[in-house]
Amino acid sequence: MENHDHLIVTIDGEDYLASPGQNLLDLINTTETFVPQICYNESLGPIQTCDTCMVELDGEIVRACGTTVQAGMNVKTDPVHVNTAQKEALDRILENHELYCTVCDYNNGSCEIHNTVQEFGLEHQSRPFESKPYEIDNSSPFYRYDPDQCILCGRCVEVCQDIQVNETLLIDWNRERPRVVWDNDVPIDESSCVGCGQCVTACPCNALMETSMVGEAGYMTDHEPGLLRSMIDVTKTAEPGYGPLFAVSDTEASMREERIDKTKTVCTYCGVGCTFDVWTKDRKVLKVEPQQESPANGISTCIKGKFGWDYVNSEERLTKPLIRNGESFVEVEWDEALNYTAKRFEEIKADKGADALGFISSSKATNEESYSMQKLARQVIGTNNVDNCSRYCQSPATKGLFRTVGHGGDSGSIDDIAKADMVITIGSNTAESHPVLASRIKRSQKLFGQTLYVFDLRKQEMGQRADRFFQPKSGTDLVWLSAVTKYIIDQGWEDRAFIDQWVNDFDAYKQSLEPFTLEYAEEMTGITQANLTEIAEQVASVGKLAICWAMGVTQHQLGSDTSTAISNLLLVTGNYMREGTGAYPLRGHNNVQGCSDFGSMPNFFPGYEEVASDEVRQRYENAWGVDIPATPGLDNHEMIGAIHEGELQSLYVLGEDTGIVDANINYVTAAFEKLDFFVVQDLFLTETAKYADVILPAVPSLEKEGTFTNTERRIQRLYQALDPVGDSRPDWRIIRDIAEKLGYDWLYDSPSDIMDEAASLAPLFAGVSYDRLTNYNSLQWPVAPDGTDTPLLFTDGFPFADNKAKLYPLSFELRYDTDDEYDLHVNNGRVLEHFHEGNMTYKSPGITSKMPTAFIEVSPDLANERGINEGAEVKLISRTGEVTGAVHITDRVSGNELYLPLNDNGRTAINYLTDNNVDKDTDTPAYKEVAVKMEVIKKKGKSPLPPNNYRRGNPQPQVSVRVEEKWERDDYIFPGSQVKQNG
Amino acid sequence: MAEKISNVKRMEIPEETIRQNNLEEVATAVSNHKTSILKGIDLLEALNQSEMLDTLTALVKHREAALSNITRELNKSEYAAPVENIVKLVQIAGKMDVDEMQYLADRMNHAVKEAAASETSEKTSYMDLLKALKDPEINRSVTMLLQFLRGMGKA
Repeated sequence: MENHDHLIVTIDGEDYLASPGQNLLDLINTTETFVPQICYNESLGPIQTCDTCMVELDGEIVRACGTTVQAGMNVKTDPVHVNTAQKEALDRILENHELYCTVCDYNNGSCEIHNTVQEFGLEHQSRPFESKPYEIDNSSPFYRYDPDQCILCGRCVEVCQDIQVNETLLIDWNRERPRVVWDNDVPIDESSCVGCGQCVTACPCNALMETSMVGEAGYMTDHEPGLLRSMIDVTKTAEPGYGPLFAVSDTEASMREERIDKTKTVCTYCGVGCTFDVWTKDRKVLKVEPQQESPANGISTCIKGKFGWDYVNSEERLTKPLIRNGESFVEVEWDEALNYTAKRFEEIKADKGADALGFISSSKATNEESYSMQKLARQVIGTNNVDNCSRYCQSPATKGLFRTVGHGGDSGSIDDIAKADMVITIGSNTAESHPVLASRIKRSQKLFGQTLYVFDLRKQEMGQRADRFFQPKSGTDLVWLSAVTKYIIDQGWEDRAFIDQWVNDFDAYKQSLEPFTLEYAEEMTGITQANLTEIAEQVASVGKLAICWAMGVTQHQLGSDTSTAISNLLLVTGNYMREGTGAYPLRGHNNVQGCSDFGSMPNFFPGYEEVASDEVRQRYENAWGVDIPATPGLDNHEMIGAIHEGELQSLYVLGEDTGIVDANINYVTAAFEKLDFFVVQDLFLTETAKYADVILPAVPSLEKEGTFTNTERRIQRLYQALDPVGDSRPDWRIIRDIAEKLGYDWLYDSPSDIMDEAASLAPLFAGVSYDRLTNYNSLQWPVAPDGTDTPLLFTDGFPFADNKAKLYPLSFELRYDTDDEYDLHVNNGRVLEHFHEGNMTYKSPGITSKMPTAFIEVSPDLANERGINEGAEVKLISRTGEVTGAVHITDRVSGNELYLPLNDNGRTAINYLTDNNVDKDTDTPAYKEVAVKMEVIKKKGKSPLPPNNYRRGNPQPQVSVRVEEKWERDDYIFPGSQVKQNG
Repeated sequence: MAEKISNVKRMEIPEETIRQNNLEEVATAVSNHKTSILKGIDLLEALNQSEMLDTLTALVKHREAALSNITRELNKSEYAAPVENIVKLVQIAGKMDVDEMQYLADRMNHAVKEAAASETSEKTSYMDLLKALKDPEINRSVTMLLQFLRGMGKA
């Protein structure tokens, strides 16, 4: 429990209230007092390298940032000798950093050296700047390191070691002139750096800078290196003393505001929902800058969010509507495209009925766009045939939670995952699929004693880091989960008080567990009985357990049941309703949560209210002035089937390359060919769009307004940073205009009007409005009418009639296995570098240089057995199709298991192999159940993984920056002691 | 029945239409900012008359070379002092108390005027000097001069 006692600390004669354990500098910063500080950053905590925050404490000079407050402390910040010590520290920094602000690309008002020196009032430096004997490292496509400007504050190291926990950066304190090094001192591009860019974000000056900023941000920075050097020299002569220098550079910095826009946006690359300012100059994206107040991510980002925005300026963007005419698509004006679309919709509806039309929303588009799409289907057309692409990934998790706890979303926030005593991840390659969230787990495990158990087929990074790593046989997680739960109950370790008060159906559930003995579980999963009991002991003994899972669970025929089993285990052990506990289905796309939340589902209105419910339906019928069918519509999977059966003639797909990402490509594209009318709305001429009759050019997130809902149920606003390219338009506007052509004038001027309507109809979002979501403000649903949101669910019980959760009985039957002919299992999923089918991230030359193609991971054993080497070319053949690709041999996979990243839309696209098997409860394709045979085409070749891929690097784990090694150097004197000596 | 196709026929917008659209856009902007545009033309004309327009155009076109020449020159050691001095002079100007200087300058001017008007050509003896100290105007001047010397010594 937090201690709310306060203690009194005297600073410069005034008494202040401090919290126990508070950092002294942190306390000083809450007062009006100025103490210089450069290495200190609230997000990172004290690093103690810069020595500028000297204060006098009970007669001794100390670093304020290295001091924890104690009752009765007497602190002085202004005596002359304290000031001298501070000045000495600043002088040392300026020996390491040349102030040529006016011609520096980092002169944007936020340089912490500039600002500190200025506020301190330092006019001259006592000792001259000394160049370091190292070249600038320009090797990375994303950022560059200038050792000459580096003050060795170690923030970059701290963030890499202990926030991102990639453990690439360190400072070599033992050199004559220390510097930051990557791995075992290799160029950045050849290191284990994952390109998350957090070191650049944390750097207080221009030592680490985004390549996209260099020569771009300033008015006078884009010059040849020699000329720039001359200008730096002139600047220094012409601006003697720092006063004039700052006057000129501050003026230049404010001039930059004129042409650089900083717009808050929300990342579109995964469900974590990172927010940041994007800096743009005309159409150029200069940089992405996460903020301390970014709710989900703080100052963190990953390679895609930080550096993956090239696609918005791709030459391949669609700029005009296209209509199929014979063998070509022909560019037309909007009016023609909209009229044609409306006319065809009307004709098909008149001819075959409303249910002959289907609508698929995008979990990459906004909440308002999901709402508009389902309104178009239900109100304008009169069908419930509307679904979204989260059907492909997360519907089973939602189902499992609805069955047991009543809300289909994460129980708490990412903070809760970080706070848990134990985290279990199941079927989640978290470090690559949700990098920023994974970092929170990695940090808690590394620094705060969190226990991490990882269940996955593949020993990916989380598996390598885990305290215990288990590899259950594919598709059998339900069995070990149930066996562990049964063992806990058999031992009497269940949380009896919690169950009695909050959980129904315990007895029936216990009964259903009978078959899940340890023997059976060992046989089915391959996890030994001894290990199963150890898992049970551990789970039952911890105070706070959070379970995270992803597509390794959901994309199976028993995806919903396995998700249910997870929730059952949490209920039996009382791991709901409290901070640091709960169920966390990690949502894949940025708006997987929100797209379903806002009604693009065949059986639900917005806020998960049943279409079949008369009371709910009537509410929408009254608001929209039409009758809405009471029967749920078709989901994505059923729509494809209905096309084959001739029951669905028209399909409108928004922002999804369905022909690549839906299972069984050949079957899906054959369906597209049978459609009478097919509308695709996208940024690019995707594989799916190539089958369309009308292609409507949409805009990416940077060119529109709206909201996304992240995996924490957190609704966040994105602002428009760029104008739409060509004649492209935001999805919400296109849908609105189609509705208008069909006779329904929705009167939406902006997405906020749409949100207001949704909030007025769906109680789950009652208090959501754009006014409550300005800038970095966010709301986690349910949101009460007064705007009160719910960071942690279930604190007052579960949303069922009697406020109690339900244990849901399950059974198991092995539905998938390899056999003698199709003897290899193909696991598949994400990689860090690329997103989905790659339509966006392959447009980034930097990212593509790191990972140019998809590849097939083969275990050393299997490679040996088949006589193939790195770079071999193989063909994988399943019962539905085949792919070819290059082999990468790695022990991340073992035995007869292969891994194929899903980021390819050509001959290596995984969905040529997948079939029509689906989760029995939600129709989510069983993407993870792929058995193949392998034909070797070529025995060796060029490795598909380039030498500059981070997987080939050599991380150097350590805690923080090891400042002690700096203090132990012979030439180091503590500025406080030096003052004493001299004084 | 739609086969997969990927050929796109771009909309052919005739050159003339593009030109027309661009002209219209410019015309609207000109019409919306009539006054500033006219003033701008005035300024351009003035610059042209003085041949500064040619100079500026050449300078902007060759800015990289110009900047390079200037910075190379300014970085020569003989310029270090002048460049620094210019800035220092500005700093001196900033430090001077102009109000006080004004007061002093007024008096100086007055004194100069008086001296110029005086036609006395006699020499002043030591005694004359002592006597003159009794004259309140002279006394005030001498006191002020002494204060000035004291202040200068302190600085």
